[in-house]
Amino acid sequence: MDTIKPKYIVLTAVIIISLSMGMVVISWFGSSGTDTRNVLGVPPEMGGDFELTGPGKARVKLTDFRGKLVLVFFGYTYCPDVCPTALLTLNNALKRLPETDRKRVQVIMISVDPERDTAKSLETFVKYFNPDFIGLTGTAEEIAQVAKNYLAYYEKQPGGTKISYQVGHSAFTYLLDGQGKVLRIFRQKATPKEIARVLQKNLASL
Amino acid sequence: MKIRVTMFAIASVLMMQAAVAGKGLMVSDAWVREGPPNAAALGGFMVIKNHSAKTRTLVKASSSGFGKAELHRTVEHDGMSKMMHQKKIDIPAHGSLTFKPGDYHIMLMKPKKTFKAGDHIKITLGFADGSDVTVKYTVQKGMGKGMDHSKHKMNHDMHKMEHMKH
Repeated sequence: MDTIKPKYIVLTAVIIISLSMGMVVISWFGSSGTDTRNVLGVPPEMGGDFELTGPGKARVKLTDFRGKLVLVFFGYTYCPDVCPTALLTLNNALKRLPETDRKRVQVIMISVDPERDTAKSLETFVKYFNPDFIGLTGTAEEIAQVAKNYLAYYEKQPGGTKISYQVGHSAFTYLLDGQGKVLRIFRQKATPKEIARVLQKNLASL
Repeated sequence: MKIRVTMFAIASVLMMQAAVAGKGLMVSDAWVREGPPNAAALGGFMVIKNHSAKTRTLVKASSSGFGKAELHRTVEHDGMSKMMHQKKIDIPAHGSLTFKPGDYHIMLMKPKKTFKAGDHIKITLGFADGSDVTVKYTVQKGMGKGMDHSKHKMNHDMHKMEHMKH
């Protein structure tokens, strides 16, 4: 026993915790392919406020949007397929709402690639889809903390170079109230119609 | 007679839009999704039909408008989305394969300019047997034909086109 270095004990603990967290996430979200619902319930203890860097390098808090509904998506600007699809879908969902209701919903994309995504590049990216959308980034630690709070995960995919790589990421959209409470989770396949219906229902009770 | 002329006219229009690669291979509905002005990569989509009795295998793509092009597929597993680089993509004999958002796509990296809706982009598709075909892709906004209500119409047109070939 004496020969096992503390370093290895810590490493083993980290691996075990990571694996069990992964299992929890998968069991909440996955249901092994039999679950075809696009609007999911919310695991307990998910959510919370966050503070990240937004347009013009201003610090932005989730609670700045108190009184609104907030749709949060984790993505990155080098993403050519999933992220544009998600942002187009959210924009199409908003278009289904009356103008006055649209103003009560804030869409936020949080970067899972803080190494390459700057506040400026995120701003240009999300504004293409809708001038009211906001992109947030931060330090690697800040992003990791927010992702952890929302059970979102991401990883650099192998095969890239230092500046050219892809990031695999969970592609859920979270519907939050402005205080960090997660109301609903949308799968990537959720349609604008499905999202709009949930938005309308939650706007009515906001 | 009148019907035949009409059918011929429809087929001619469709044939102009579709590129033929070697024997029995046809590419149609080729489009590239317009991206934000600073997009580092764009997605290219299309329908490839293989009318031959042999499986055809797509192995590469290239375009002079981009620094690099690769074949990719977005795969969702347990909520995690990943883009998987595809070394080869089989188009089954007498079958077809649709490249669409959230699925198979040509990943076009390092654009040499900002492409706008209405622009055309030439992409060369290379196959395992050494043959290749250059197809003109139209830059479009949004989700493409395959994911909206015109899907039905497209299938109908493709069906007609197939008829004309026999």
